[in-house]
Amino acid sequence: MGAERQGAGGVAGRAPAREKSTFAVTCSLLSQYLKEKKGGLEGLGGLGMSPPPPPPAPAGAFRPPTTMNLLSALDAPAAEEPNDAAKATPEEADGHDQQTAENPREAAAGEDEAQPLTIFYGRKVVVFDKFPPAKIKDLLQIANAGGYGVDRAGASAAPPSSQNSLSDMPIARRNSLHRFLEKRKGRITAKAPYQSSSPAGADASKQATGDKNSWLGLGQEVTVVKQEI
Amino acid sequence: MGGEVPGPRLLSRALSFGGGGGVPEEALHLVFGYVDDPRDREAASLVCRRWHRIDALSRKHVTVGFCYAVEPARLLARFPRLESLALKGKPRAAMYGLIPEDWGAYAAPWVAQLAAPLECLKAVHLRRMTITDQDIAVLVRARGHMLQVLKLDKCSDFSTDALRLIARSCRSLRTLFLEECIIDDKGSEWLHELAVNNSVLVTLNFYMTDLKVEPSDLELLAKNCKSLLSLKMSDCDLSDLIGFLQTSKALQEFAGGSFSEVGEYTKYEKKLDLQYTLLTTEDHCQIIAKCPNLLVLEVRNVIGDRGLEVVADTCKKLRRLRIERGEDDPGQEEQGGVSQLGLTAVAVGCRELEYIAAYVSDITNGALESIGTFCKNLYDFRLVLLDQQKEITDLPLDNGVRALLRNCTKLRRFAFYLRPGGLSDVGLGYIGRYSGNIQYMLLGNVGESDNGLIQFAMGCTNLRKLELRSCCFSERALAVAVLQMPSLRYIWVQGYRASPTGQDLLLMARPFWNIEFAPPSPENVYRMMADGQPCVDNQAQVLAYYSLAGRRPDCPQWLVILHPA
Repeated sequence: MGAERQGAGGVAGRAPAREKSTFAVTCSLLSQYLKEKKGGLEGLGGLGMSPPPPPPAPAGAFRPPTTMNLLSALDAPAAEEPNDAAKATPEEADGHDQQTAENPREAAAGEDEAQPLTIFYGRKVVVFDKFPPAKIKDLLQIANAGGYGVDRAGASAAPPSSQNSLSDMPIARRNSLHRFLEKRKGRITAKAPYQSSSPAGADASKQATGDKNSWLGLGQEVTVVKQEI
Repeated sequence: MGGEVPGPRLLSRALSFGGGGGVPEEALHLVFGYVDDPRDREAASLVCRRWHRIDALSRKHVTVGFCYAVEPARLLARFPRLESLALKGKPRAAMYGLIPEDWGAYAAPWVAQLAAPLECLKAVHLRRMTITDQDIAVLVRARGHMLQVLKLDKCSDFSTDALRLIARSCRSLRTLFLEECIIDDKGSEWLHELAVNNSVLVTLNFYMTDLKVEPSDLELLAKNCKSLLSLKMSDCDLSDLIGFLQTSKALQEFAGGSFSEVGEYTKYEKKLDLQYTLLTTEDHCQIIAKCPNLLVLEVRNVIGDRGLEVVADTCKKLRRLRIERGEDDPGQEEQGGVSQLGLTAVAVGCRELEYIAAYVSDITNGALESIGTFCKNLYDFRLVLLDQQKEITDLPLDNGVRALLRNCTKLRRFAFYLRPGGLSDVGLGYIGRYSGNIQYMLLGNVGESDNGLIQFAMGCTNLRKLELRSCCFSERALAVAVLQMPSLRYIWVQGYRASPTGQDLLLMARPFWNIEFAPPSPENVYRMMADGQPCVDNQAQVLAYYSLAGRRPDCPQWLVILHPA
């Protein structure tokens, strides 16, 4: 079982070694955990099964793995449409996917009941008939902690709901700006006193720069913020 | 093509340039030396065999727009004395995380077949290609003594080891450009070696890379390279640069670091890039108000309509305006977001605009009409309608886009990315009918049905490169549309009514037309990018292009080549 999980990366051959991901480790930990817990063994007929034949996808339709659905359903079961996050459309589902797509609905309805869980990883599919919902959050935390960006991938990989509305493709972000905005999220908390959105902070930072500029002896020609003459 | 017998009317003209009297070869060479524009060169090379040969021997620079369109050997055969080569690889969509890392665009065959035989080669520019340390070693071994310009532009798969080799071996290097490359950082010695070995460097750019360097090496570089005019670097702290900035005498251009502070500005500023700053709407207003001579302005949409009004009032000479997409969740940028108000103001105020690219939150036909009315010099217009706001003031944009296209007669590049309902089939037909001399288009979420696409295609006589995304068209309609566009040589599509095999695309099969299909697949969701980020899309993709090279020999296994079979 462990052997089946390890090396099950979905990455084509050119991936560098560092991408032997924590998710692979997580999956093997998960299988170990479930072996230990008797309750979790119930209905774990899916564990170790060879992957089911992929369902014939309707042209242009794709449903993402439901990790994202489950997370949103657990966080906001009552108010929000749990489909918002990943925009799955259960009405499109056929057999196998019917089960997974309806998970958010079921999870919203009865959080205490063990639910079916499907994990897509690399080229393998694992199905758990009854996965305890209390452990879902743990699992997702572990997965997200791997820095895999699952949330983002899930949110962005919104499938086309039908052949008529391919509008569910989000507008893709430019890599450079995306990296900048991600870095900024960390930076804003780090440089709290110099937050440019607060007037006091902005004045303070401007003054500090003015001082630095004069100390540096910079003339008017060379200035500090990204600009070109 | 050269070699065809000219018609009777032209025969006498041809004879006057031909053998046995007429213009001597040397004179023709001299004249050709003054012809730089590639379009002029292309035209000249088609006059007769002689001119074709002279062009081939005297052409200094070639840009290969798509690396799979031609084989290196053919390029070498035609242009043996090339001095400067530019190669573009991955589709533009790679800049948006939509192309998996193992897609291709390998520099290896080019370097292997061209680096040594092109004895005059001194400038190399690769854009969106995959190049390894070994490839760079081959290039450097062959051309290092002569190399003056090396630009690796959004490339990946190499490390700082290669940079060390370049630094040691390319002592004539004037330009080292590495912007937005994914580089395996094994240490900062490369910069030290560059500083020690090079004294003629003019431009160094490792902007938007994650390379870590030592401030002392920067200072050494400034000291040894007296002609360093431009440095754009990766993130750093201002305090680390003090030594460098004090030492560099000739520096005119600088970018880098994580500046949130606002510097001093002069009224002579011509270019301003605020895309990677933490400035507020108010900051933008204050800065721009001091820059009446601005020619180029690049910002995020935090600039807001208010900031654009300042631009309109102040920057009367503005030629290029780019308004990028900032954070979707306003948070820090409450006043941000650009709409028809800001765009109209800019159109009215900045009549010299040649390039406008804007991510807008709202739009009207009127704003587009204003742009058409006032911005007569526009050659590149790109509009993306963001999807945050539910209600857009004025859709569809049929009339506005028609007015813009009819009035901006110099338009050559055009992008229009909307949402369902943003443009009807009639509007899409307008784009075709009034496409004029537009050579490149990106269209997203346009039209209502296949009819719109066909109407569009029938109008696009000069369109050479087309990108389509998130559209409702069928595979069959796509193929038929391609056949209607006589100048089309490259089309990229993602998000359409794809079949699992792409078989309807074969309707457009024809000689020299390569058709590549990436089937929709859940596995693609987790395909990794070089920087560790997942490739975000899983839709089917189509790439079709004219090629003299036949089938790609280096496809990843998930890519299906439909034609040639």
